Amino acid sequence: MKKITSLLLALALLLTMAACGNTEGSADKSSGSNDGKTSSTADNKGSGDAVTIQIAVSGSAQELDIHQEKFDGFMKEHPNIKVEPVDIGSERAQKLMTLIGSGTAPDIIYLNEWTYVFANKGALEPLDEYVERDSFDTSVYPESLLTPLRFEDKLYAFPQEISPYCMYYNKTMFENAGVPLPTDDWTWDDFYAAAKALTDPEKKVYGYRHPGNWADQDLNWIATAGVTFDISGTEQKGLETPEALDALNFLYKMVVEDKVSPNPAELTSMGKTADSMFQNQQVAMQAAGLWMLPQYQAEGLDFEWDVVRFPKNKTQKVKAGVLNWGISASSKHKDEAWELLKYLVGPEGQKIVAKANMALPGSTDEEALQIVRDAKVCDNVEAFIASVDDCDLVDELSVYRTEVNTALGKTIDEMLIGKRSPEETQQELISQINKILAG
Amino acid sequence: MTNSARAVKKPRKPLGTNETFWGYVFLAPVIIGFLVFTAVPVVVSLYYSLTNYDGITDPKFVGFSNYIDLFQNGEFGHALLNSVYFTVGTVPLGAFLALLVAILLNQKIKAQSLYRSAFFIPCIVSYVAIAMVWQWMYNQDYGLINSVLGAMGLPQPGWLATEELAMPSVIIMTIWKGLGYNGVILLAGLQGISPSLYEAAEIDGASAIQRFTRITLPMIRPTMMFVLLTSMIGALQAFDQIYIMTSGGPGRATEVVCYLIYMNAFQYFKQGYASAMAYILFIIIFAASVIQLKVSEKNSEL
Repeated sequence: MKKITSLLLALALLLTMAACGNTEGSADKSSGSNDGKTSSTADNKGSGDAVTIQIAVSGSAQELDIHQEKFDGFMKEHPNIKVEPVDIGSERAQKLMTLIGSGTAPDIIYLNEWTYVFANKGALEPLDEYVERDSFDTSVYPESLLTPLRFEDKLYAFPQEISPYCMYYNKTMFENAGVPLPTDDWTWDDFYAAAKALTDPEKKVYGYRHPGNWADQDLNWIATAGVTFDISGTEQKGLETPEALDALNFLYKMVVEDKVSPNPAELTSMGKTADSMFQNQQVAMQAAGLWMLPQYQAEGLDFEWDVVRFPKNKTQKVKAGVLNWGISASSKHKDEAWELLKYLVGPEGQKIVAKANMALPGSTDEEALQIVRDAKVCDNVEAFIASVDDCDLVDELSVYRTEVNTALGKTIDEMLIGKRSPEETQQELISQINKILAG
Repeated sequence: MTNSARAVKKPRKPLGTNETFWGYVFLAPVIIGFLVFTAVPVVVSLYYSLTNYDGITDPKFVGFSNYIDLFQNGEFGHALLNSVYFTVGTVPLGAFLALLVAILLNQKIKAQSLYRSAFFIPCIVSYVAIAMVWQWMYNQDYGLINSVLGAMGLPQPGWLATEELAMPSVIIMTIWKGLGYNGVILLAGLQGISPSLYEAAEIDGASAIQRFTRITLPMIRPTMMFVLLTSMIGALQAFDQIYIMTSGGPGRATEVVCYLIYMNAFQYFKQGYASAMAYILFIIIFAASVIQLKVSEKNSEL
């Protein structure tokens, strides 16, 4: 028995060591390739062997097809580089963390709002040297989109897709109720008047849908109130201002007092199905990026609808969904990965993004933007394009971003079920967020 | 090695020539699986709980600071209370109802197997699917439950959308889901009781109630202990239904320990901190199980 036990223990030890050895080994290799960057690529080019670049992808089948179209275009131009997509599913940050932690990170990493986090953890390669070496033109990328991609003055990724929040509205409902149609320069007051006029408690029809447990939806109101929410330090900046209180009061009035939006907690408990309320004409307005368009295009809505910019108060700044690509710090083929990255975020890649109409291209490439305009996915597609420069992504500059967002979303939800007043909520937000930022 | 151990060992045939060797070979897949997916992670996460591991960079030893943070931060205490609330809500009532179901299913009735399957079916369906169905039933404006309540002229509360009702709503669904599984185990326990005991009691003139309290209850106690213990462990580890139905909300009203562990480990890049939480949860489950076993041993001695 003892013999067997020790045999098993030895086996366990062996397995553990094997696992540990693996990560160390790959880390060694990666640092090795780091040093000998130029020589290793020279080898690759010299021998003419095909190099395989792994790239993380995610999304619907349709989105994966769009990425594949870009990869195919690239491979045609670079026959010695093979692009291998790695689907990271829908829990992207989690899956990427596992891949990076186990030393099997793809060469090109899919980055939403966590570029700063991964750069901070040393998982990404700074791109400044490559940009300089190839005189790569970065002026085509809006500064609002590059801001969240920097860490300690170095750039770690480039934007591929951008999807700023705009207001979708049901034109038919507006017209039937005799409410003037919104314009891109409308204000909070215009919005509120419309939302109130379109609410019919008897029929359980609401003017607007303010989702719960979704911090960006809260932050849109906080940003337009005139707050620059900054969590890059050890204390939050912005939420202590009277403007932040304006936003909280506005939400409180909207949900708790006048009930022009269903309760966010109820919406959260409906899960994904809450999304269909706009289609079913149970709400007249909702804020979202371009991600709603493909579905509305495919299914066709049985009413007239359009989009308009988010209503402004002191500013018209909004949040956005963003897809960026960065290069893994442990990639063994960084030069090839850079070639692919350049193609993806360059004119060719952005045009393919534009054609697909699921997001705006991440650059100001005129040809690409013209494709979006010509496609006319909705009458006022210009609202999305005009919102890009007003994207406020400053709050991504923190390793605590997700945790802060969760706390913010939950605390505002608590206010909206009547647990705390806006003033108390403001204090609660500040104390909770500062506690998180203190580490 | 002592002489006695040698003496015990000697009569055995050497490894490889007897059945013992092949026995271990056939056990190997399970044992290796256990080592790789359970034993090693358990040990490694104990180490991680003493580090600032974020899932990406190399862990740095930080002593007990994760454990200290955990008790200083209100959120863990809050989640722990919610877990206890959930456990106290589901386990005793769930076990009682399961016993009731088991007794009913043990009767000689028509379509007995039909009833048995009907109660067991929810156990086969995954938590995710069931949670989504219940999410809809609980919907305030369009849900089945409120439609029925509305038709009867009763108030229609927001089941998952109010702080007071969210946890009870999840508890009700969890009890329903576990009913069939616990019921079947208790049914097996009931069928293990020798009919001769009942016959003897009947001849002695014991009433139905006496037969239940004097024969059924004592005889089913070990099975009941098993049901209580496993459902308590399950309840303290609840995650799926919370994640799907409420995301810990409204606000933080249904944030249980495992939900917090998941958020910290996989959303906030705090694997070390999450490991510390997991270990505290482990100690609590372990202690509760030991107490429960001790109490039941004491009772059965009486």
